[in-house]
Amino acid sequence: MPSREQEQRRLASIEDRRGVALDLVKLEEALFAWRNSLAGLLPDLRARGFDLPDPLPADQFLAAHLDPMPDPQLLRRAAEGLHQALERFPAPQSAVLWWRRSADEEARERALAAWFSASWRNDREGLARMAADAGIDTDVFAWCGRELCRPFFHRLGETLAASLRGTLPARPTCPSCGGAPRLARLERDERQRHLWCRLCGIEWPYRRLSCPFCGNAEHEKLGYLAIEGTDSQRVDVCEVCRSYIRTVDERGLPEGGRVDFLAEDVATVHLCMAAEKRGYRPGGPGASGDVLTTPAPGGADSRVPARRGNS
Amino acid sequence: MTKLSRRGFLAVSGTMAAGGLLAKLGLDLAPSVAHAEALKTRYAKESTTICPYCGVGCGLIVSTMNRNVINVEGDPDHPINQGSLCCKGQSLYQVATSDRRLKHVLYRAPRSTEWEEVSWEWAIEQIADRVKTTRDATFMEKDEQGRTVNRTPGLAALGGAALDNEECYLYSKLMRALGLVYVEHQARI
Repeated sequence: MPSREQEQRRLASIEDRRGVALDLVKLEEALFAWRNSLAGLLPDLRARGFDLPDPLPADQFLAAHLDPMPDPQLLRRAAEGLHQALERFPAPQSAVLWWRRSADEEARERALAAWFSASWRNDREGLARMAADAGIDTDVFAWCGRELCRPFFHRLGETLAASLRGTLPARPTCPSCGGAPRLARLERDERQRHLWCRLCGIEWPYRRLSCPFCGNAEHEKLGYLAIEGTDSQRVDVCEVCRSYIRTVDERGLPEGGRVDFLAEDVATVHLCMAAEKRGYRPGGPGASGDVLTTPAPGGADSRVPARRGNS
Repeated sequence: MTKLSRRGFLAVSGTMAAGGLLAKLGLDLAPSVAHAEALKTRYAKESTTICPYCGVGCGLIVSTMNRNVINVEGDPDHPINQGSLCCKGQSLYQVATSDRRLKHVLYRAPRSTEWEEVSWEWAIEQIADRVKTTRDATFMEKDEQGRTVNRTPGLAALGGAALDNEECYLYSKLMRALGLVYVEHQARI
């Protein structure tokens, strides 16, 4: 994983790239700075005895058996920090502190915890109910909840990356949260494909000719949209489930260039638009960094027999 | 930047799952929408296959666009080569695209120093004629001890790694039917 400083530099460096929406860069920068400010406060899962199987079986992910609920003070601080980070963005900013409307302190704490828990589990029905009660657009409410969880998922991803000595086995979904991948990269030399989870910030290997969303491995029904004028970007598509995933090919980058997923995610939104204009859609029920509450495609049981503990 | 009407903006961003959410968050996506509008894409496919050279049988991924080969590379998921290729395998792209690739049958007559272009029909007929002539001249129904053998020691066959399983089966079947006993394969390495 790149260091936080590297990520921040790369995020700032994409502002001049063609087609980049500055609003999106500013949003990610603000979220990045907010996550950074929390980094020292997040619990060390390994110090708490979180036991990871190594190698991690391909049909398991970590979040399923982990009680994620952070300390109430930390959660409150995270939510208030997120509110400040979204200063330039009134629509989500006004949604973040909805739980403060409760009359007493205890009710506020309960509401915030319920929001965090539903967001962590990606309980769409629960989130929709809460959003309706709060009078907030469901998508904005769910997005804010997911962002609130993101530093904690990042910590889970960091723990996973640091704990496993071996390479992660090839799998279609995030080994940390079980969500669908957001981006992919092709290695410059070995040409292995790696998928990336926006929520946890980690990557893992997956087969080149296989759809990570529906498992289709029939190459006649797989293809990609080559982008004229660049060798480093393409959009892989599946004709069975009609989903797409953006891919960065390291061979098209300058010598020694490495993919920074966070920056590429922001810089290649136009590829999503191009793919969706051609009738493809973002893949998987857990796309865009969502968490799956059901086992991943191809995985019978996604639960890890790990010790329960607070994150 | 391309000037984009509101109708044009909605035509792109309105269909976009992520764009819809980002718009709800109040983000101005106009630069990305304009870039997407002007973007030219071409549909390409990737197919797995096996290297036609030696008997190792390395896995390949061949990319094609409009039925033209645009890239050949090692298949990182293939258990034998795990993405790597020898220098000969790495140059496979040229087999499909090189302008030095033979596109016609060439024939050099006995004692001639020149190659001449001939038709497939002529070449196949020549091969059939010469196989039959040689077979008829060398065919043995019985060996020295009077045992039925129905074979010819005058011909030999050599298969190549470019042949797949089914082709090898048919090739072997044809050669045995002709009575060949010297049937060998290059992939025996």
